[in-house]
Amino acid sequence: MKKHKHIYSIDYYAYQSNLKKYHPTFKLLFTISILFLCLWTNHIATSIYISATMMSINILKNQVSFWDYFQLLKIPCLFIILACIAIAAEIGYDNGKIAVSITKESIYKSITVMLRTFGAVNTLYFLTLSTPIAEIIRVLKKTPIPNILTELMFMIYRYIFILTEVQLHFKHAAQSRLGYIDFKTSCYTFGNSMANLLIVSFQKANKYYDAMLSRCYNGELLFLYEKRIFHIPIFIGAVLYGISIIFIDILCKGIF
Amino acid sequence: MSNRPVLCLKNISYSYDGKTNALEDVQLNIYSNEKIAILGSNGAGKSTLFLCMNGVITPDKGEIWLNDVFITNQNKMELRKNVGIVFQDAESQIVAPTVLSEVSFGPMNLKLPQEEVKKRTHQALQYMNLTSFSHRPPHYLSGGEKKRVTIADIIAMQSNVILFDEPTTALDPYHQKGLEEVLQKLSQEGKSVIVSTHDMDFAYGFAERAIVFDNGKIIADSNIATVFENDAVLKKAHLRKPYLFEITQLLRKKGILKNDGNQPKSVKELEKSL
Repeated sequence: MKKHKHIYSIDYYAYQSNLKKYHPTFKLLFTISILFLCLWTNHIATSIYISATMMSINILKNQVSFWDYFQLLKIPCLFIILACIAIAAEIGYDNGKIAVSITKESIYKSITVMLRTFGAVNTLYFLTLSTPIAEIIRVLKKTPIPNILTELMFMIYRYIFILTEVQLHFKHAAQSRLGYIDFKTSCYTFGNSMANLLIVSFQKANKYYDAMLSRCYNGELLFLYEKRIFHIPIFIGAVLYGISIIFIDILCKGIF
Repeated sequence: MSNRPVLCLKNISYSYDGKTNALEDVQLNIYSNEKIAILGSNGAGKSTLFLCMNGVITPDKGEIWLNDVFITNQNKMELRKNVGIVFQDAESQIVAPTVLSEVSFGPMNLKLPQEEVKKRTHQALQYMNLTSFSHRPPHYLSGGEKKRVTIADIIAMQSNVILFDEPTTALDPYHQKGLEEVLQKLSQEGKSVIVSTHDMDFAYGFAERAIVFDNGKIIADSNIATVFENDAVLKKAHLRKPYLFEITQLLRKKGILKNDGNQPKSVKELEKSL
């Protein structure tokens, strides 16, 4: 996933997304609405429609390559499949013995749940790949959520990157001295580097606080934000998309 | 340079653990438009002095005066507003999720009107050639770019005294040159620029006045050339002479360069003197 692996990748895509310029409140409300529709409608075709459209938006508009998107879906898909196997296999007792039975209904039920969840995952990826976390927190700041929580979110978000970098330096330094040569040494090195990371995080937190105080910080994190646009045609498109989901669901229920 | 100091430190002492003094009886006057280098070995008290000058830490003893106003806990914000610090570790100074938000953090804390905040932020970004980076998150910037962001942070505050804590650390020669130009520009605009550094060549090229610290005490405070002529001070503070200064001294000793009292601060100036 380019040079920004793991946690960096989603954040990186969010910053380069074509949809970044649109208002985060709009994107958040859109995602919540589609999630609601995804859970409310229960036809396989509707779930496939939501998954296909959201995947297309993520790949074409959020500029995530197909392969990278596949990588992002790997872990959620694994959980979905495991959960669906559990749904499909009905466990019961037959003459005092445990019996596992798979019926047509249970298979249909598990496929419905699987596709619905898959649609929801793609919808959530739409939000995370088009909106940087900082902007989501910015929206949350406008809600009745206590300020201290949103500010903590900001700091945790910032600190993830700072501490990941420090941890990476620790890892490279340890690797260069054969710190990860075998399992036992790796466990020992990892434990030590985590302990050091804790100390460094305290030191960094002190420096961070001093730097904030030096710029007249007075208990509230105040920033100027980029102006985000609210496009009427995009809003209309989003509403039409929602209507199309309902329409497909009604249509499919009528036909099948 | 006016006769009245912008910032005045009177008998400042500070200890982190209550036993060893990080600063001891520091007496310092900073005038407007001064270019000062704070020199000293590691742990000499340079960074602590900066934190005291900005009001982040309150000295155990002594007084701080800003433009003839005695600084107390009540008016500490005035000190922070007028004395800006650019920290050594840029990563620890950056608070916000984007460069634009980051630079606006100081002016927003000053509770300025939104329009003024925007104006100052965009001016500071332009000043540091960061306009094209304004929407980028700081964690995707290089070390040199992060340093520029932290300088823009302070420029947006419009502080009269700017403290740079080891500004050349981890900068390549290109970014170092850019930094020197910014410092000169700030000085030309009437700001007092104070740099704490271990880079003697950089200090000699930039500063006019040098203050040498050793174990929390000021052991020399005068014209930078005078400080570098004082071998006893340099030895005590574990410092060395700048290469250009040493070459000039050597050329004078050999009679190649006239002793006209001028101290060339760059290779070009030395070439002119020859």
